[in-house]
Amino acid sequence: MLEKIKEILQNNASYDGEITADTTFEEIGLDSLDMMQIIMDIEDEFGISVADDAGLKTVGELMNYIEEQQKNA
Amino acid sequence: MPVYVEATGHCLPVREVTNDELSTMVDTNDQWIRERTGIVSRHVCSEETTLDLAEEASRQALQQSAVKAEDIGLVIAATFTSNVKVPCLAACLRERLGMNHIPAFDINGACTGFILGVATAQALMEQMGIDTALVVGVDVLSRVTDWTDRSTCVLFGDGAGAAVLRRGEKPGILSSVLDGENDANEVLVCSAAPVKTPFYELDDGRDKIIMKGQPVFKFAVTAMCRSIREVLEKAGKSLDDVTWFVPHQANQRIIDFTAQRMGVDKSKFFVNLDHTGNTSAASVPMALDELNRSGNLHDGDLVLLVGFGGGLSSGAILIEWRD
Repeated sequence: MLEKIKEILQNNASYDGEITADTTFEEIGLDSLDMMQIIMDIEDEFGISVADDAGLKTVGELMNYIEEQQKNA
Repeated sequence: MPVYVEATGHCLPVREVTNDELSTMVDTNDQWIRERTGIVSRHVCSEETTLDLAEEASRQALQQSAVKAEDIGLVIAATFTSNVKVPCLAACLRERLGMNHIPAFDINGACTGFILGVATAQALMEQMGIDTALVVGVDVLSRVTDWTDRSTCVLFGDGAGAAVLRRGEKPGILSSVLDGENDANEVLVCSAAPVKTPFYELDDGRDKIIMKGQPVFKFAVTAMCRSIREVLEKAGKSLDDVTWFVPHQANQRIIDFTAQRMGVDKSKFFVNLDHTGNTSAASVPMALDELNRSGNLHDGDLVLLVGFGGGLSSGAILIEWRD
């Protein structure tokens, strides 16, 4: 899952630092519209829906959210 | 007989407002605005009215057209910022252009207005045997913008775009799709002016455009992708068949992400928002006119108009261009 997320982040942002579960979206330099692009690609990729107020700040939080959503599907 | 776009025109008000000027009014800067939106400058009305802009855009289109004003059989004005209510803008425009005894009415479809107007005109032309129509998209957003709200005031501008539609031997409009979904979360709203009568008063303080950027971004991209797919399927055409996409000029980022999701090269999306900003109903026809006059449109090219806006409205029209 981390690999897929990295791919989506790469497609939507120009960041060549290391990406781990602890990486925050802020340090990747994503603005709010970049976040929307990533969220939309994530929704497509993992077949889930991300709530407007999900408030995800790190890659790890995103991975947990995806797992939760997939369990509840 | 198929309906085709015979001529186009546009009008921007004289006063230009740059990002630098906006930076003196609200906490923002040129770099931020360019990166977030792609907008460099926009035009705003001073003494010009919505009707003035619509008139000039229409005159430009009629000048380009082989059709004379007195032969126009229908006028539709798409706007939500008319300076006149009764008679409606289209009726006032009819008078300004020296026309008479033809139907003229306004449509409020927010930013999708022009696409709705063209679809409506085509249907009436075919149904009632009307040979030529004038469709105008015009909005003066500067008068419904909160100029203290930096999240919205950098986005909007004023303008008008017009098209002369004509029935002819060859198409023309190949297909169109329209949609509308409820804005349950109030992501894009603007109330009517405050009420004050001897019997009732109401001022909800929301008579300026209020927008939630992220949900609007998501809606815009989703709606544009869907409209593009559907309008092409309806006409039995593919993405590769399209020469130019002319999207609603709200934000470069919306357009770029739509192109990315559709797997289409960004360069096929015509963009002029850098010097117009988001002009609501004027956006698509102004872009179409600029594309038309650039010399990059040729007979037989497929042009796909696609838009989205408050309502939440969306739609697309696939046109085979006739020179």
